[in-house]
Order: sequence, then structure tokens, then C-alpha cells
Amino acid sequence: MIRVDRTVSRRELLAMSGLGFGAIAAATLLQAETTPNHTDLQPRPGHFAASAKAVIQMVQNGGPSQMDLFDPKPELTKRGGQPHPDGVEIHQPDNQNILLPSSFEFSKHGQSGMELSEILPHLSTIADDICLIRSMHTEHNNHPEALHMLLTCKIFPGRPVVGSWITYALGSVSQNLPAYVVLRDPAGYSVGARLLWSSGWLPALYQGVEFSSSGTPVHHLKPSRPLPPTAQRRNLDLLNGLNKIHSQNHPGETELDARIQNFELAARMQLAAMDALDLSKEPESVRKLYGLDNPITAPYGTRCLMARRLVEAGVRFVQIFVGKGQPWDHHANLKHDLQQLCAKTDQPSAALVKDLKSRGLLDSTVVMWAGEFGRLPTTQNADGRDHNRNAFSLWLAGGGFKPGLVHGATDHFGYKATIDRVSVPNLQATLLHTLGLDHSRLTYPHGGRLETPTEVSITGASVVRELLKNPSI
Amino acid sequence: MQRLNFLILLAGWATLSAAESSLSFERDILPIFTANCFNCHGGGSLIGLDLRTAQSTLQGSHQGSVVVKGSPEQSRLYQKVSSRTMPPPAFKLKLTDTEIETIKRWIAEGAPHTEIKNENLQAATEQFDKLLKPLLNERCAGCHGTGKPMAGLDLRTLSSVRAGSKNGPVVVEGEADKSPLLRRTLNGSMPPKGSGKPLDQAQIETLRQWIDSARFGSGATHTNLREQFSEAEAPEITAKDRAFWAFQPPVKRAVPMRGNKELVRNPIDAFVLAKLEPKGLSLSPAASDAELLRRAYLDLIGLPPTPDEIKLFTSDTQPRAYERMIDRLLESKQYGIRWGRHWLDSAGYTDTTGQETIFEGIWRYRDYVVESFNEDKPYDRFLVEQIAGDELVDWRSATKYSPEILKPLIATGYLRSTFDRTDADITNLPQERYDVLIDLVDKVSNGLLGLSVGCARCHTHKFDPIPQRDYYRMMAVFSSAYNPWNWTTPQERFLPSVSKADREEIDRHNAELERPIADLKKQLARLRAPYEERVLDAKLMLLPEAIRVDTKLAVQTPKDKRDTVQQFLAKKFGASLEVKPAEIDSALNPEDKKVNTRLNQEITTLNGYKRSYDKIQALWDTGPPPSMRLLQRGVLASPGPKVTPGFLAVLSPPGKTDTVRPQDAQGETSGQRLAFARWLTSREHPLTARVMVNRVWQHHFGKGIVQTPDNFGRMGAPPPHPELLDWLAVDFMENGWSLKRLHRQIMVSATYRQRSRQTPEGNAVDPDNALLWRMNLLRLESETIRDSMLAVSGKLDLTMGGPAILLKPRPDGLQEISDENTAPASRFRRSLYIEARRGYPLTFLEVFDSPLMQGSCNRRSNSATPLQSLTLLNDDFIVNAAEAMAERLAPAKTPAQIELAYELALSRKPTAEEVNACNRHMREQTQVFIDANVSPEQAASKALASLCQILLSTNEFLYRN
Repeated sequence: MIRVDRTVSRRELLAMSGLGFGAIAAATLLQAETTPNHTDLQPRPGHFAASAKAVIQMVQNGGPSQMDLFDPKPELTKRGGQPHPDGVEIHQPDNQNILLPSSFEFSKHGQSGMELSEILPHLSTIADDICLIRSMHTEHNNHPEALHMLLTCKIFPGRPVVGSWITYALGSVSQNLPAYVVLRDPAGYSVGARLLWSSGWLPALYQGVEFSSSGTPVHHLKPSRPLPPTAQRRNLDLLNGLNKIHSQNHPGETELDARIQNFELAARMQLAAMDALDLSKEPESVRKLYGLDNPITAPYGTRCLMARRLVEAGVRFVQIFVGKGQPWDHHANLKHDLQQLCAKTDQPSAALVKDLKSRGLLDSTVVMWAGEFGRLPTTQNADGRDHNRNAFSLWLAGGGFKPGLVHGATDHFGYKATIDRVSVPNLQATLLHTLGLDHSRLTYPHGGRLETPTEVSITGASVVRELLKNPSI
Repeated sequence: MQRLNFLILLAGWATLSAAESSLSFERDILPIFTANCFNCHGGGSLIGLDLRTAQSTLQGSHQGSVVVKGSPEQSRLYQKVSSRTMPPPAFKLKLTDTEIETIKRWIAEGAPHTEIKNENLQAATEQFDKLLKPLLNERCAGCHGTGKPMAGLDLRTLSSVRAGSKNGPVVVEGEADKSPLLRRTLNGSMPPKGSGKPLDQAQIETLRQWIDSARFGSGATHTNLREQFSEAEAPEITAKDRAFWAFQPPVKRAVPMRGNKELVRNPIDAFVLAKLEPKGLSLSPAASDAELLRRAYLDLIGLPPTPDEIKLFTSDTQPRAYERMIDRLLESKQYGIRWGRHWLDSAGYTDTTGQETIFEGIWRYRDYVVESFNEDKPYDRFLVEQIAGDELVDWRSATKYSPEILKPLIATGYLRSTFDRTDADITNLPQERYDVLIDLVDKVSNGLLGLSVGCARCHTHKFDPIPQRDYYRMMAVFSSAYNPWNWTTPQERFLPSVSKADREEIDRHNAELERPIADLKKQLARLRAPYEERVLDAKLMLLPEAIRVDTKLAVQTPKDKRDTVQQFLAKKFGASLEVKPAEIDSALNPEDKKVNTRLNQEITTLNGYKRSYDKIQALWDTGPPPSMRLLQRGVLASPGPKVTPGFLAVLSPPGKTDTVRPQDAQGETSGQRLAFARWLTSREHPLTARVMVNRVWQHHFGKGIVQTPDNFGRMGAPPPHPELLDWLAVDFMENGWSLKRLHRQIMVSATYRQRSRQTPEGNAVDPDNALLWRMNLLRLESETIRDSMLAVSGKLDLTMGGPAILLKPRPDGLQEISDENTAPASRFRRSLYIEARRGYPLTFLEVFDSPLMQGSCNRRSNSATPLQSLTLLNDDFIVNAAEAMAERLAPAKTPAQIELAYELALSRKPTAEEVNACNRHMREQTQVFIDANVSPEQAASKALASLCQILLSTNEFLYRN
């Protein structure tokens, strides 16, 4: 009896069993003798030429209602009040299987004729700059799980978020600021809180660093008790001196040197962070663009403007949270609450894209506006909508994403993404692609295997080339 | 006789009336199901239960039937609805009693239904014939058609498509992206190369839309249940598979005899030199006594030596002073705290379970681990207790819980330390339950077997001989305790800390005390009532006279009995009229005050006689093992063949992979876990001892002999010293699995005693120090950094055990120790005792890489970040520690202060150069403070504190040499 080589036969079996992609990735991994295992923030190239250098991720936590904002559904309007014929997957109590039409008018905008809701007047002015996906879908109907999915491609906490993967892969241009900065609502955390910028099992160096948009921007940036200005410098000088004596006895230990440099970086960061977040340096016209002159738009506008300044200063990844808790979570009182939230956020979100564009930064910066899931076409609590993992909309701008594009579609009622469905891992793969990174080759050894940002061997994620300005790259 | 007639008559009447009002599924049951059950048990049921037709309802779930015709009590459907576990309370879809009764009657009547044509299926067939049939016939049926279709997949008719291939279904109803039929065409593997051009976009779209809209109706989920494993799921384990070094039991080879014998202190050195010398290298010289002392202290107890301990060691000039010092450390209770922490990393321990809401009693497992290390519990016993402690002792029928019963029960906390969201109804669903089992299998395999079997959840492992079947067999071992179909929620995983008999005795005892207490309380209430009335009346005087009477009546009426007006009044004035106990106390006249005090004292005294018992978290079999199935592609909705509990075949002798209930398994339990634990700790097991020896080695040298502690498989790092690892592993087993002996063995070796300095010669040949020509420099773990700072500051509180020190979030998001902890010194206790949570550890520890326990952690990352620098510069914790340290130094004079500071922080005397630098700093920094208008004495003490803080921030402090 002839025995076929076990490894080969197993690989062949896999290739035949619908897991072809995983097998290919595994084969690639087999060949990769050494994986780069960075533990610093030096800037480094990706796998191929990148269209984007930086990312601003605006997390719209709560689950924005796609059929009220981005995805017009005439059929839903027509059949409002009737039952959904097949029933829908619900998550919470007090649901009725009755179709709830949108209260808002949609109209066409820009040369692209993109249809957007009347409560997004500012976004409507940049319709030709954004790439709108109407066919997103995800895996879980609960907020924390879906947020982890959006950021890590798995519903469990514990994996690195995409911002950590990107800074791990590319390092940072700025040596005075963290590579990955988080700007959250000073009022509180999103559901999921700090796990949403966790580096998981990647080195802690790549986790998001919370900058506060009010007061001192970084924790521990200043001494807990006042210190005369020269005192800290003297402390640092002595520390430096003692560490250098120690290093002489331990030549070749690069980690020790990194730590010496880190104290200097910390000192520089004390200045650079204050400077990057000092919005008083912005001209009045720019402050106005972001709505800083209006108390309603000012809080979120402040974070959007800070994000631009941080990207200008060389930060690789900025993550903005729209608010504490889950602001888009409109289980009831949908009409009123949506209007209010859009009034707070529409202008600043659009302003960021406009501002980046006018500075020539939009081409190299991806702006991503994304919630964790969508909402149901049916009624909850008389005037609200429950969670919906089967369809949601989000938009991207800049950094190589195709402007003015509407990608994908949902069924008659907006319940389920049907055409050109985009999974979260596919979106992630595409985002990484614009940064010059092949998601299946970006690896880190963990738990005895090489992990990838999209968990490619299980999700089979691939780049959605239709979303790209230049699909052939 | 008359009576009998009556009964017969009655029975006849009953039959008659039942026949008259006979129920039908379609008319009576379906509406109930439609309104209440379809959200989960419609088309997409994860567990295969489809309640949309009578036929599919009778087919049951993947677990088997849910309706036993004629017997509601035996029918799971009725059990679930009558106990109101279904629909899940979270959905607030409460069945009425009548509806439940209707379901009961329907089952009792034999589940009658009319056969009606399945419209969905008919529509699907028409669609299939119209849209797909031409395409599939043209492009696929050549191979997947007549005769012997490839992979058992016949794509000619709807029913054959639904039957799937031998690997399982190819169409997931309504989920094109999850359906292999679409995925295979999308990734270009089908139609295969050479059989014409790939499908075009329009054809793929047709396929996608058909699957997305597919609704087959009943039975769709059942057609593919099969009992035969495919070759891919259960490949044979060959002799070649077993030949890999890690799958062979370790063998103690002869200790190498060649090499420089003068350097050899014990066999470890002989093995290491045998690899070094052929490369032209040798061991580095030993580190200095001071360095070795500090190294040993940090390694074994996680604290630096105190000045007294330094003196004790340096003044011991007798031979074997070093060995005696090691022995002292191994006897220290602090040893268990340090090494218990390493174990708890691997166990994925947290003080909370569920969604961080439950914590009572969990800490006992942490204390069990510390105690086990301190008493040098044999490692094999330690494992057996943690995996099957509940099966070792008959706790169910014990009349007294001795420590011999309690400890093994508490030990099972190991299996409870998993990420688990099933404490909330909304996430207590089949997938979430399976997630717990998946996490558990990962933890056990990574931590104890040193294998990552997780890949085999979806497909047979690509690199190691771990069939998918074996993964699910291993999972099944734990299924009688974590039964996904009969789940114990995190709230229900506690046992009382005393036996049933004792509990009844305590309850009785307490109940007897309750009577006199109630009596006293009544007396007290009588005494206070008039005063309460008076205080209330006084408060009422502040209200307009017109509403006083009504308002008084309103607040005195129980909440649920108030009418609308009273509700309004109570809401508006209730808070301002509330009479606080202290107000009554101060209103009492002197005599009544005395009585009041006496009554209270008596109540307290009686309460003091009450006895109580605690909760312990434990794991136990909740019933017989359920039937478990392999999950195709790891997907719960795609069950494959049944699996029985078993061991990984590649780690077992051929044919001996079944778990057999051991003779000594105690009580009503399956014995599955005990069998697993015995297999794990058998002398022939290839991995258990190796993995633990490697873990201990890793914590002494910074990396294991196998550098991937959780992967000894083909994709793991090949060990540079396999012979040494095996020798140590066998020696470990031969000597009673004693960890303390292993530490001693490692630490007395010349290999361990080497200095850590790099040399050009060594770097030229072996820059990664794989061959161990020097010791490695190690960054201290977060806990050791914090504990050492506390020790040096003189504040460290060495109290052991007990509930965790609680944390609280600050407004800026940082986590700090809560003021609510009872003992004031508790904030100075060792870091092991600080509340361990999955999400939010103490910020100081997190900054220094303490792991986020989402799963488990067998090797920590070790970063050097600017945030660490900022923390060392500005965090309150270190500033306070430095000030406390400065106070310790204050009595000494300046030169002695610097010497003592070095001894405390760095366990050595400063060099002249360092003394100079520190002196200069003290002088100049004092002046800086004086210039900032600080008094000269204060300026000096601030300067001293700044020096202390700098010493605590040096690399020398943060690294073990």
C-alpha cells in the first residue's frame, strides 16, 4: 500500500472541502520562516504600495438606523403598519412584527445622485466624496459583541483591534505622540469601553492611548502633585545618568535603551500632546466649520478637529467615539432622538472630510464612519427599532476608497443585506489593503498559531475591490 | 358498585369530550408558536428545532425529540414551557396558563396534526427548477450527478442538494455567504480548473439570491445528521504521526559525561555544556552574591531582599549558604503568592464571573492555588483535584465537610475560570454556552497539554495529528458538568461550604434564635413608634395646614395601596418627611434611650449566636453526559456525527482513547473528568510533565526550553535542549512531581547562577542565547514591580487570602483601589489580592502588561512604552511609595541615606560614581525647591523623595539581572 504524505493529503483535503482560502493562507504561513515580530513604533513599509497613511475611525456606537439615514425604502413606506411577512429576528422585549416606515424624506445629492436622508444635510454636501456601503452585515445582535466584531473580526473581547494591528504593522510617523490615539466622549465610555482599543495579545505598545478632549490630554502626563518646572528635568537627568551606568554593565540590551528613550519621549509627549490638542491655534473659519461656535455641535466637533490635528502631527490611527453608552440605540422615540443626534454630529463629521480635503490630506487619510449593526424595519415600543445584525450602512472617505459610490443593497424593507453583501472581515481586509497591508500575511504568533487581523482561516475574508478607487492595486 | 359505574361513566364522558374538542397542531398550537417561538425556532434554529410545522416539531432538535406523544411530562417541549424556561424570560413573551395547558393537552392527545402540503418547500422547488437546475445541470452534474457523485454530493434536484455532501450541508438556508455551494464558486475552486471557464457574475448572483431567499420549510435541518465520520474528520493516527518528539513519552537519557567537569554543579549543567562546548562556548562566570540573592528573591517570592535578609545571607560564611537561602525562600509563604500568580495566568483566573457581576466565593480557588504551591502539593495531585476534585470525594452524601472534601471541590474553580456570558438571559443561548466549552478546551490544551487544539474545532488540525473528532471528544469530557442542553448558569455554580446535614442544623439553630429576636424587635418598635410619630408631626408643620392630614396618611399608607392623590403627595413630600433612625434616637427621653440601647444590644448578642456558612464556587456533574456531536466547520447549526468522551488519540496508546469511569470515582458522577485527569497525569503521558517543567524553566530563564509554552506541536519552537527537558520531566515524575525540588534543582545549577552580561563571543555564535551561555535579563512582571515598590516603601501588608481588594473607576477612566475596602492597610497588600477582572485591571498593573484575561495566558508580553515612563514619573502610587521610602531613610544622614536607599531598592551598595551623582542631585534639587519657596527642611525631604522615586524607576529596579 502506498501511503500519501500526510501533510500534503491533509492540505489537499482542505483545499477540497470549502476551506480553500484557509489552506492557501496556511501554506503561506508554512513558508514564512520568520514573522516580523515588532516591538517598537519605528515607521515601516507595508506589504505593497499604500493609498492611505492614516485612519480616522469614527465609531457610531449604538447601531444607527440605516432606513432612516442611508438606505431609502419606498416599500417600507408603502407597507407601513402591515406585518413583516416572514417575521424578523428580534433581540429585546416589546417588539411588534409591524413595519415602521421612516419619518424622513430622502433625496438625491451630488453628481453621484446618492440618496441620503434629510436629517443629514451636511453629509449630503459631500456625497461625491464618500463611499457608502448599504449591504454590511455582522454576526451578533448585542452591542458589546457586535462592537468587538466591528473592531476585531470576532465577537469575543480579547483580540487586538484593527487600530492595534495597523500600528503594529506600520509603526508611527510621529515620535512625539502615541501611534494610536483614542478620543472618547469626556462624559463617559462607549459600551465595551477600553476593550475597544485593546491590543489584546499584541504588545501593549500597540494599544490605543486615551487622549482626553478636555483638561490634560494624557493620563499621567503631569505630576499628580505640582512640581517646580526644573525639578522634573533634573529628575530625568539623574535617572538618565543612573540608567546609562547600568547599561554599561549590560551592553547590547536594546530594551534597556528603548526604556531610556521612552523617558525622553514621555517628556516630549508632555509638550507635543498639549500642542496637538490646542485648538486655540485654529482660525475662526475652521472652528466654525466644525461647529465649535455652537454648543450643540461643539463637543463632537472638538474631537473631530483634534483628530485632524493628530493626523497632521503624524499619528497613525485616531479613533473617535460619538458618545458615551450607545447614542444611536433608538429602541423608542426614534424620530425625535435621531434628529437630535444628527444635529450634534452631522456637521462635524462632514466638516472633517471637507477640512482634510481642502488641506490635501484626504487622499492619504481614510475616514470611516461606522456603527456596530443596523436596526429593524419593524416597530419596537410603538416608535422605535430593535437591533439588526443582518443589515447596516456605513461610509468611508478618502485614502483610496472610491468616492461617490453606493455599494450593495438590502431587501425591500432594509432587513437583510442581499446584493454585494459585505461582511465585517471583508471590510477590515479592504481597509488594511488601502494601508498597503495584506490581511492574510499580517500575522502575530499567539496561542501556538499565527493569528491574522481578519481571522482569515475561519472567516475566509477577502478584499472588496469594488470599494476601491483603483481596484487593480 | 354504584361508585364504579359512576367512574366508568365519567371516564367515558372524558374520552368523549376529548374527542369532541380534539386539538390540532395547525389550529391550536401553531398560533402559540408563531407568536412566541419563531424568533429562535423558526427557520434558522441553531439547535435544529424548527417549530413551524408539526412534522418538524416532532422531529425535534439535534439533541433528539422534544415531544413524547402521550406524555407531556417526558416531553422536553412541555418541560421547558411549563417551567417557564421557554420562551426565555428576557423576551417578555410569557405564555398564558391556558396556552401551556393547551400544549400539554396536545401532547397528551398524541400530538395530532393534519398533513398539509408544505408551501414553502413547493415554492422552493419551483424556484430551484426554474433558476438553478439549468445551471447546475450544465456545469456541475457531470461530477455531482448520476452514479457515484463526487464527495457524495448530487446537485440535480432540490432534495439532493439539501442532502448535502459527505462533509455536510452545502446550502445554509438564507445564508449564501455561509453556504459552501456559493463559497466554493466564489473562491474559484468550483467548478475545478480545466472544466471550462468559472461561473460569471450573473450566474453567481443567481446562486446567491436563490440561497438567500431559500426557505425549505420543515425538515431541512435534519436531513444531514449522519453517524459516520468522514476521512477528513477522523483521519487515522499513524506511527509516523506518533514519532514526533513531543508525542513520544519522555525518556531519561544518560547525563553527558564530557565537557569541563569543574563547571558542572548538577546534571542541568552537563546537558547545557554538552551543547555549548561544540560551538566553542561555555557557561558565563557566576553572578555576584548580591546579584544572585536579588535574583533568587525576585524569582521565588517576587520581592527584593530586605537589609536584614541581605545581612543574614552575607554573614553566612559556611558552605552551602546559597542553598540554605533558596530553602528559606521556598519555605516562605510569599513563594505561593508569586508562583500561584503564574498558575492563575494559565488558569485564566478572575475574581468575577459572568459579566463581571458575580464574585462571592470565587477567591477560594485563588487561595487554594497559593496554599497548594506552599505545601508543595504533588503536581499530578494538583491537576487531578482541579479537573475532577468533585469526583474524588463523595461530597453529596458527606455529613461533614472536612478540608479533605472542601479543597478538591474548591480546586474545580480551575474549570470555572472561563469567559462566560451566560449569566444574562439575553446571552444564555446555545452559542454562548458552547463558547464556554470552547474556551475551556483551549485553556486545558494550551495550558496543560502544551498544544493548540483550537484549530481542530473547525477542521482537522493542519499541522498536528489532531483530528476534528478528537477535539469534540475532548470537549465531551466536560459536557456532563457543562451541559449545553441542561445548563447551569454562573449564578447556580455555588455550593454551600458546609454539608447538607450541617446546613439543616445551622438553619434550625438560627430559626430558634429568630423568635426571641423578633420579639425584641417588636418591643423596640413599640418603644420608638410614638417618637417617630412626633418627629413626623414636627416635620408636617412645615407643610400648609390644609394638606397635613392627607399627606400624613399618604406617607403612612403602604406604597402599593396608595391612591392617585396619595401617590402624588408621597412623591412630592415623601423625601422631606422621611424620619431617619438617628432622628428618633435623638428624640428619645433618657429612660427610653436606655431601654432602646439595651434592646439593641440584646438583638446584637443574639444575632452573634447565629451561625453562617459561605459559598464556594465549584464544578460538578449535573446529570448524565448529553449526546454531543462534532460540529461541522465549528458551526453549531451543522452537527455531524455523535462523539463519545475521549482522549487525544496521538497522546494515547493505540486503541486506548475512551474515558472509562475509574473505580474510585465517588458519588453520582460520570467519572469522565477523573478518567481524563488520570490519563493526563499518567507516567506515560508524553506532555504533562514536560509542559510543567518547561513552565517553571520559563519563569526562571525568561523563556522555556520550548519557547512556545502553549505549543509543543510541529508549529511550536523546536527545543534546543530536548534531552535536558526530558531528563527534567522524568526526574520530576520520579520524585513525586515536586515543584519545590525542581526549583532547587534549577537554581543550584551553574547555568542558573551565570551572570547575565552579553559578550561579543557569545553574541557572535548564539545571539538569542538559545544555548544558555548566559542568564537572561528579565523585566519584572507588573505585580512584582508594584509589590517591590510597596516592600521598599515599608508599607507592604503581607496579609494572606480572603476576598479580593476591590477596585473602583476614577472619573478619568483609570482604575484605582477603592476606599470601600475595610482594612485601611488593604491597599498595600500584594497585587495577587487585588480584584482580578476580565475587563478592567488596576491601571498600574495594566500599564506593565498584566494580561487581559479573556482566555488564559501562558506567556506575558513585555512592553516598554512611553505610558510606563509617564506612570513612573507621575503616578500617585509611585510618588507615595517614594515618599514613604524617604521617611524610612530620614533618620539617617545624607551619605548613609544614599547607601540605605540603594540597599533597599537595588539590594547593593552604590558605587562612588553613583554616590556622587545622587549627592549632586540632592543638593541641586533641594535648592530648586527652596527657590520655589519651600522651607529648607521640606525641600530636603522632597529632594530625598525624588531620589527614591528615581531609584524605583531605574532599569536596574525594573529588571531582574
